Amino acid sequence: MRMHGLAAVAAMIALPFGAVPAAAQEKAVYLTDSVSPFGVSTVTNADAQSETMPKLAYTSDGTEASDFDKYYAFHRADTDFATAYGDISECDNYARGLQSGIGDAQVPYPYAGTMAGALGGAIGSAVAMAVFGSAEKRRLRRVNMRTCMNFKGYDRYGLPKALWDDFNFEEGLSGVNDTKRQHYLKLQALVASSGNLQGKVLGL
Amino acid sequence: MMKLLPGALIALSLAVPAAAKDKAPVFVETAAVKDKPAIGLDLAKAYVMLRSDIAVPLYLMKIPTADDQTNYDKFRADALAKAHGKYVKKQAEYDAAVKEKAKAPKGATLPPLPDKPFEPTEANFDFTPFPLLAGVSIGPINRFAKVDGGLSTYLQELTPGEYRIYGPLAVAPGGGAMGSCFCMGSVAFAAKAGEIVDLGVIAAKANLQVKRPEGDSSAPVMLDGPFLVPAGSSVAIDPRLANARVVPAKFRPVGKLPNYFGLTINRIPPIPGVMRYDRDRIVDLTAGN
Repeated sequence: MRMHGLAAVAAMIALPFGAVPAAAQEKAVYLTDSVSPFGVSTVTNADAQSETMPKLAYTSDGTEASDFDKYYAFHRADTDFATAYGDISECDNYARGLQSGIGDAQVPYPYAGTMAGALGGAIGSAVAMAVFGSAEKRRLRRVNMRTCMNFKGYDRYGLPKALWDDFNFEEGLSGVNDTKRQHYLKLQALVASSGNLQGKVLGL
Repeated sequence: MMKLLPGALIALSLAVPAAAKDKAPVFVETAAVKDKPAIGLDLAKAYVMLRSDIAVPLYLMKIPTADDQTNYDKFRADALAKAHGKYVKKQAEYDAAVKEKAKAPKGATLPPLPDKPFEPTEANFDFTPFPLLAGVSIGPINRFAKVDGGLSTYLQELTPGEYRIYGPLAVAPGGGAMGSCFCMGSVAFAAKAGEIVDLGVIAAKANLQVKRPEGDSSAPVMLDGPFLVPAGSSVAIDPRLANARVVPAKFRPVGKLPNYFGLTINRIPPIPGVMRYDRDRIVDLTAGN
């Protein structure tokens, strides 16, 4: 070995990958499957008219910020209702866990390969449910919504739980029915596109 | 159109693959190459090599060839036909029960009507997707080699083809998974017969540790460095592979996939010359390559 493996890796990570001139990279060919893998939303901007903007203004009592990891709303400037709905709906699908027709612990055919070890930054929902139950599943939902909406360029603002409850839902071991889900997702899209959220941007 | 399936349909879609279990076509045959003093590689098979500074899992999914797609489509069509046959039977039972009820004298005690069956159609039949029938689990156990204080090497034999990196996750044979998926953007590479394709090195210690800010129970874990670093010639290859043809992986970007295993989601960090992101849209930088 000419160079110790780890040292070599460290050296390679330090290479200025970002140094490739932007102009040389700028052939913005978007992948067609960059779009949602769950299909195209049929919700239009006109659908916003049948929704009422939730109450977002509040007077801080100085304590609500400690729960902003759980209670928040997203917003992105220059985004219309239909776009926001499509984005939130896509993120919701990554976060709801049953979208593929495969149950949390169900893989219908045997997989070649090895038994899992307890590695990685997160744990699967089947294991999570067995070990931590509903609270862990609710947490994983928040993690996925925050990740996905961050990738999509939305900012996150904290809300007191009482206001948050009016247009959001948590999803633990029991699911949320589709009628209620669609209604809440539309309200969230309304906030994300045209809500006036107060306080500072929380970031990721 | 949004896929919003009623509970009955989801139940149906789960039931069908189980019933058809024995007929599942094999899209991928794979096995870890074990750490033995001497190894023999099969020239008809492809091999994937991965190195990492800690034991890691990596999950691949085969991208269907035209033949794979034909076989999958037939498999799905057969399952749909079977499900539809069951539906027809149940519908007949339901119709008979409705007729019986209509004929019954007023006030007669009858068993309650069964649920009206839901008709599976080509459009609504939510069958097990191809990627879930073509997965390859690499690591975290079954290392091919481990250098003290250095890198672990995984060597996986698999059916030649093109594979997508689905994410650093492990799937247990009986279901259940751990890790994260690269559901919102990843890369694919070709694995050719008689070759070892070298995916590079995962600097897992630096990049895959959980760094959750204090007081934030739900903070996402973002990968802020490259996920896979090309090994290059400075990282030695195990001497047992001295005579093998080892080629560096040539990546191309691939798009989003559902969160099949209900894990935390992520995306592979940008790779210069291969892909970058514009918000959540994936930009293909390989056009000039």
